[in-house]
Amino acid sequence: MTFNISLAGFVFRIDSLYDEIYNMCSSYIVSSEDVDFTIKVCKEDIEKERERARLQEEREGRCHEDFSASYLETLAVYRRIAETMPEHDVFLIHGSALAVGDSCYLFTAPSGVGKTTHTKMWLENIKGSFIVNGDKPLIRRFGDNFILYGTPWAGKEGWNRNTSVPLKGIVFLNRGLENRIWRVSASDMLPFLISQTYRPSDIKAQKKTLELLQSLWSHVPFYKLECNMDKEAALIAYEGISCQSGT
Amino acid sequence: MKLKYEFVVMDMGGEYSAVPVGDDTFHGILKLNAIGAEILEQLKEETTPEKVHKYLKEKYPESTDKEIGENLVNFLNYLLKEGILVGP
Repeated sequence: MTFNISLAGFVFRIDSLYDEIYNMCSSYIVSSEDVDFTIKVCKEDIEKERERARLQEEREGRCHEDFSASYLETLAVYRRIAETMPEHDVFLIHGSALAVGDSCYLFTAPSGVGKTTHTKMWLENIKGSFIVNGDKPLIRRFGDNFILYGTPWAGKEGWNRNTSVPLKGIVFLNRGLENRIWRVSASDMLPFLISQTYRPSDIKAQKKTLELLQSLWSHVPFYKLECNMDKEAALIAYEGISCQSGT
Repeated sequence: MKLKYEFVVMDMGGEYSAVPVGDDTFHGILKLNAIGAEILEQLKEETTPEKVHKYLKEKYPESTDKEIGENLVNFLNYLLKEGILVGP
């Protein structure tokens, strides 16, 4: 089936083999005929995703999961999009994006640290907070400003909203006994930031992604948050960021 | 001798980080000072320790041969140990 979706301000025509991607993208479908990119994946792309998933399971020591071809197609489509976008000042990053008003904060951490738990704490304790994307948002550069976009690719929970919010901070989450937040230098966090950013296969797109990350560091503050599982963690994080960014 | 990977050097406010590019695996980054970044630049093309030494001597005439030589050897040995530098 063929349908158009809007992501990060661009219109993509998706030519899919299965319905799952259409259902997943339902909130992002547009009728515009001004298409910027056409994304068509084939069975070979789906099999490549199956192999990638198998290798990742091996690396992480997880049990084998037999993914459906329709699910793997959703991954193949997003991979194509992520490969294309750096040239247009857009990149994909792994993290949970929360917003309050017109300020968005991206929380990033290794798997298992507690991004989902911390996200829930914000929703329960920070008035007016909402999730833009719980797993794989897109970030677009406009001059010195960075805007974070919701996407349908939103992890197990599927938390996402079809909206865009100015990015005002990136928070590296760590577990701690107490709750504290402080500004960190980009060079300290760069290896982790790169590991959480989609790495295109094309060398030109890789270089462009690094240029975007360097620009991001120049214009968006980075924070480190040590937190436990108390609700105070969300309050201290929000107060710390608001206070230091003046939002 | 030559670098095994192509690197992009990112200036993070006076601190330099060199990030390898070229394949789909992230191999980590090198943290450098300004001179390290310059040496890395020289190693993008096939070269020799003597040529790099000569370049640094011209760039930093106030430094002695010994100072430049020791720093260069330490840095090249580090790159060799990490498997980043290849060739004779």
